[in-house]
Amino acid sequence: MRNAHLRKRSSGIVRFLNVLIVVTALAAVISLIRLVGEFRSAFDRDRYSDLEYYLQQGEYADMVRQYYYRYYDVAPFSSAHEEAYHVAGYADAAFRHRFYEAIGDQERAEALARRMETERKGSGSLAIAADDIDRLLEDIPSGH
Amino acid sequence: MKCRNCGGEVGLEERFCPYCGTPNEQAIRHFQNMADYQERYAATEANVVGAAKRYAQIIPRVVAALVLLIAAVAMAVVAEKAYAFPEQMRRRAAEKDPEGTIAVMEGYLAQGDYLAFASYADFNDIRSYNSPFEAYYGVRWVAQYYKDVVLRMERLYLHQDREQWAARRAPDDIQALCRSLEDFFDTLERGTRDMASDAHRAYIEDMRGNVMEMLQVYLGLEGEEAERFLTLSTNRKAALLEEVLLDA
Repeated sequence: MRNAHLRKRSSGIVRFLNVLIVVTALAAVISLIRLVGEFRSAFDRDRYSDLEYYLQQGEYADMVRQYYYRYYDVAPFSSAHEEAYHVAGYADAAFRHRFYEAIGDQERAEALARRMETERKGSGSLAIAADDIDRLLEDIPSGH
Repeated sequence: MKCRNCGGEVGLEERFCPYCGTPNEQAIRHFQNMADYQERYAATEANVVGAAKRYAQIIPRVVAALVLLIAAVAMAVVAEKAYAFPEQMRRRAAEKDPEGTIAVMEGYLAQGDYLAFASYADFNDIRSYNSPFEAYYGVRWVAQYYKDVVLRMERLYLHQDREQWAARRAPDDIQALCRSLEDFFDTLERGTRDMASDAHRAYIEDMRGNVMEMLQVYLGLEGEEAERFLTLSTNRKAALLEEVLLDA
């Protein structure tokens, strides 16, 4: 009788443990999927890739901020975002070029002019955005 | 032993005296005891075997559940930190080649490209409070705030739709620029004593000079006007800039 009671109790414990194993296995699988996803995201070159959105909105300053997030990566963005990346680089170079020109620092202005040329070439089909940036900067140093 | 009745020799396993046939009570008790013993033994054996079987079912399951739980928790913790891995890898690469890293940073400083310098140091997570980069602690600190000032200045102008910017984002962007300027000059003031002996003070002074020039070039504030502007509270600075930038 005692044995029957113990068998009944232990089968209950075994069932509970079976359920627990299933639950923890599910949790482990979910954690594994999340872990893989987080690592892929961490190493994703296009993690900060709202460049096209900001370009569409005409928000070049936001593009520049993203540009600097990945400035020194071997391949800052995948080829899908490369042109927009160069538009961001052009915006930054053009803005600072205006500044150094205005204060008469020709050496730095020329270095930035060279960078502007490189970035404009890299912007490919989006070069029209570079023209737009030039237009926006025309009022600087009067500025406003 | 001897029979109680006739005194004859009777074995423990003889239930009756072989001489007079009297029941051997000791033998009867013996057989009873043996039967009880065997019954208890069987019951104990059944309990032990049953318990062993139960534990054989329970313990592996408990171990499996624990291992899976620990694995799930460990992976969740690592996943939380995954974003930092690329940065850590870059930092280790920079620390493995300090001469190369320093050469790159010195190159940017020499060119006056402080945004590139700050970005490079951030991207590679250069620990400028540790050897061998401790000489760059001061200049890096200032360069980070300088970069923020420049990027916020850019925000004032690099908008395709200036009217929409003026209506929606201008006040916040202007406030952010004012705070950024305050942070930059606070940093210079707090670090003045250390920066006087800083190996890179020429670059720090260059950044200070650039920011003062930016106040003139981008905000139309010259000389004393710029100095006075910097003494205003954040809100008064913002109000002045809104007047300058939005009402013109």
